[in-house]
Amino acid sequence: MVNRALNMIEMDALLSKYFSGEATPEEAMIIDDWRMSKEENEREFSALWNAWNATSAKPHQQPDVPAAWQQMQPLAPRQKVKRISRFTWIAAAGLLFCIAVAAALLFQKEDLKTVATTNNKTEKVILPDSSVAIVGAGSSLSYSTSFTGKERNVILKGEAFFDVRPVAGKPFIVKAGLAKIKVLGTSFTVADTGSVITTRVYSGKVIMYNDKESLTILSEQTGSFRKDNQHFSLVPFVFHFEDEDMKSVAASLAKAYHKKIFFKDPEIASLRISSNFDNKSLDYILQVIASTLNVNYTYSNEDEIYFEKN
Amino acid sequence: MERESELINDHHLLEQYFHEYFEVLHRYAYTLLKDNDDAKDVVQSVFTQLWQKREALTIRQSARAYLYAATHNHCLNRIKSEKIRQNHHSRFTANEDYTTTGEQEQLTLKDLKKEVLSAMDAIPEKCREIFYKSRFEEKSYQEIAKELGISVKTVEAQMGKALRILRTTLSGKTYWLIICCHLFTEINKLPHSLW
Repeated sequence: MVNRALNMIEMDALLSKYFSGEATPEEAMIIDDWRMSKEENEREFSALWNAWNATSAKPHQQPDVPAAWQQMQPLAPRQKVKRISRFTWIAAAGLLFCIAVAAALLFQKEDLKTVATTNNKTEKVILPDSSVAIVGAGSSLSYSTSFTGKERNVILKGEAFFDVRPVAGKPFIVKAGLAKIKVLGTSFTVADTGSVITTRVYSGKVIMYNDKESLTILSEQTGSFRKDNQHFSLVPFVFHFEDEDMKSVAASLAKAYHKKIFFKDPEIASLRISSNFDNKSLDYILQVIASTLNVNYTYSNEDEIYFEKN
Repeated sequence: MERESELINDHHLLEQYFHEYFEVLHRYAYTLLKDNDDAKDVVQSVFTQLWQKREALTIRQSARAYLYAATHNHCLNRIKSEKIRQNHHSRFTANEDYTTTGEQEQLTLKDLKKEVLSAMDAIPEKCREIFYKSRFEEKSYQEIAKELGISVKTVEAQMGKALRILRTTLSGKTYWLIICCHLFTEINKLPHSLW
């Protein structure tokens, strides 16, 4: 159920994204929910969809559902459950471990070590001070194998998550292009996306800086460095949920938007969500969650949001 | 949520899901693949897979969320393996898909095209450039953003604007032309014994 309508401009953008074949499954569900919630929406959708189809060489045709079902008959007998996946995982983990050990042995003597990932793999790196870095796809991370100096310096190209172990008097510094990120002990993600370098902090405190200015980023905040004007600023509403339960998702959202979020049905708290939201409105995020988990949300007043089962 | 993955053992429940979701999934698949038959194949295979492997599948969220996500994945795999991305623009102007059909339809399409083209002229230049790249060069939002040095969010907003203008500019007459075209294509598809 849609409690607060997205505004028309937001809806047009979402619909054209869907028509262009760019919509995620969650967005497609939002659109279908919106379309079916009111007759007026249904009409508006048809008008827009027809206008869009007019610019197509192969316009969409309503499928013949009963014929499509008949075509699938008789259904093939069911397959036996195959439990390959678990073995594959163990094998993969074993292989990864061997590679990690081999790599560790191979690079042990070198001073500066670089971990570079391919375009579709991430890699977990245990740094010499036992801090953990997860290097994102198509990125590289260079670091000294000893960390003997006054600082723990690493150089990042692309994106990485860091969980830094606190070492008194020895700050951990990430160099990402022209920006540096200094921490004492915390977990955060750094991403160089071309025009901006962003740092998302999960716990603790981080300082982003260059020669001229600096920005302090606290837990649950995201700081960014724009390459064009060389300025730092906080980006308040960027969320990356990776298989997180609703309890912690709600906590993050409540904090960022200064709202209180409650669960009328306690089991909702343990449902899990994986999704990215970059500068989306709170209602957009809530709608994605509601459609994905098949739940409803309502505002009891401006500041209090209730989730309940459908 | 657990219940749903158990209930899917039931043949009738599968049929119920099929009737409830086939149409919306088909449209979603069509937006990704830009082909009606491919979209049908994909959604059928999503249901076939759900039927065959359901014990091995863990449906963590609702069956609905699973079906949308599976449709998305199947489509992406298909795009990857078959490289079905083609240049729509050349086909649109060359009209080759319609050369085999009746003369009358050709005429209607020609009229339609003129109107659509003039409707597209109503879109402001910058916005139209983005719309053309997405629609006829089949570029992704990401590719367009990179090419023009703008954010993906700007592409989304401009595409929304283009859609709104198209919808307002295209007259009611155009819809009738589209509907006629559809009818004609459908009639042509009917087996000859019915004629």
